[in-house]
Amino acid sequence: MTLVLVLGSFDTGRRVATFEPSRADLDDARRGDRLAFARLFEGFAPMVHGVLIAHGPSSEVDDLMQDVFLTALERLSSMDTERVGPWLAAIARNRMIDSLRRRARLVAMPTEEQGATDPERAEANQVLAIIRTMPDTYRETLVLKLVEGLSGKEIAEQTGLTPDSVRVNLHRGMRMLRERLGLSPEGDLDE
Amino acid sequence: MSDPLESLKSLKYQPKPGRWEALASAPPRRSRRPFVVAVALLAAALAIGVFLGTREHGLPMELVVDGVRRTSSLGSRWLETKPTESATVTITDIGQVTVDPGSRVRLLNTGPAQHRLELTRGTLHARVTAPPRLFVVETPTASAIDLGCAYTLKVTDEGSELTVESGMVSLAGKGREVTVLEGMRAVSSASRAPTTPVAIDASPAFIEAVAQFDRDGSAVEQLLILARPADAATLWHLLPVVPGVRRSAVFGMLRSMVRAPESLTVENSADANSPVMQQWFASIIASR
Repeated sequence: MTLVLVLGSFDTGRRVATFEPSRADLDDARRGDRLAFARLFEGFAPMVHGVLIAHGPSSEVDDLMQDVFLTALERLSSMDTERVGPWLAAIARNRMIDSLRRRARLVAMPTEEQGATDPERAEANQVLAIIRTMPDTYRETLVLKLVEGLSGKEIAEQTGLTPDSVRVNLHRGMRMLRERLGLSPEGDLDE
Repeated sequence: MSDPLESLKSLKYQPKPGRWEALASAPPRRSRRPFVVAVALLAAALAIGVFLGTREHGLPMELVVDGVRRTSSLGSRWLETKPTESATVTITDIGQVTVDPGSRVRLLNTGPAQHRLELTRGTLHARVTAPPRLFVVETPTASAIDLGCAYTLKVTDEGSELTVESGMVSLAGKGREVTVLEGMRAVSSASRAPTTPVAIDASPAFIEAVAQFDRDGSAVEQLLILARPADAATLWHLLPVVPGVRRSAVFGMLRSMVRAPESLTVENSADANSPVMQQWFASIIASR
């Protein structure tokens, strides 16, 4: 795994970590090297985390991340080294959906998220609950941007969406989210 | 007033160094669809059989007879080593197997997906560096599945005994699969699934208590009293098979030895294949 620090011209201009998978780890993982895959997965972990919390309760995300990791490990031979992110994102969505089906929570989210004692976290969970009521097309993109801090370019690369789709989703999603939160329309994301 | 969107950053993914490496080092999960896998393997075996016809495939082998070395190969025909014979089989580029005198062994199949030997009598010593589950030795009572290691497998009329010198090996049979770590041993017999692995250097009283539990489900209290932190892997194996109330006691003891994942409870500790139990096992391995 290679972590490259670059100066981001987008967003706020602060230093942003950009993940760039190493070719050696990709090839080794494809051949079944579990430790190489572990290094690779760490780079994609924020995206997997974001996809999971975009769809289901935060309380289950830790276990589900492991589930995604282990499921991917079992299916390494089917991994397309050019599309690892979209492949992991698909596994993450499926695992969360399976989990929700198992627990019959498709409609009602658990209440413990609202019971967080840390005020900032409680507020975050409330905003997240509103994001989860939004159309699927906006949900993941917003969470990856606002929670995980990924850039539009990174979101596109890691989820397989086109950069244009990400830009539109962020623009429209942010406008809808701010409306639902009763915030002024300014402060849109410029990417 | 603070921006509520800023608060979302508090939910950001928090990396835990080494977490995924530890999980990757743990034994692979067993298949949740054993039937499907069995059918697929059977179909694959049939297809390979049809394709290969009667072609004989073998692995290079060096036989030592009365101290004299000669080159040979191990194939589907049985190799029965005499009291003065031993053999060293090279498993392509992944390792070597040494067969002791008085053993009976043959090659079941070899290929990029798996190398499989069968040992019905005697002792072999394997040293393998390969991805998990690539090298398997079948015995009359269990399968020894390599997870990256060096081990000794002994087959007698009573059953199979697996002792791991480094790394770890899975021993599977009769519906149970145990993971035997370095310095541990497990046995299987015709009438019983593989036993709970125990450390070779554990006290005789602890070893006997575990054996007693494997025989009739009793002696849980004794083995908990005698367990050392070094016996954590043994206790982990007990969780899925210890009934009801006693599971709480084993869970509590194990948790006092190795920190448990936050989402792990007594109830969900009964599924050894669950991610959270695999995570705990990875922590146990790391604590050794």
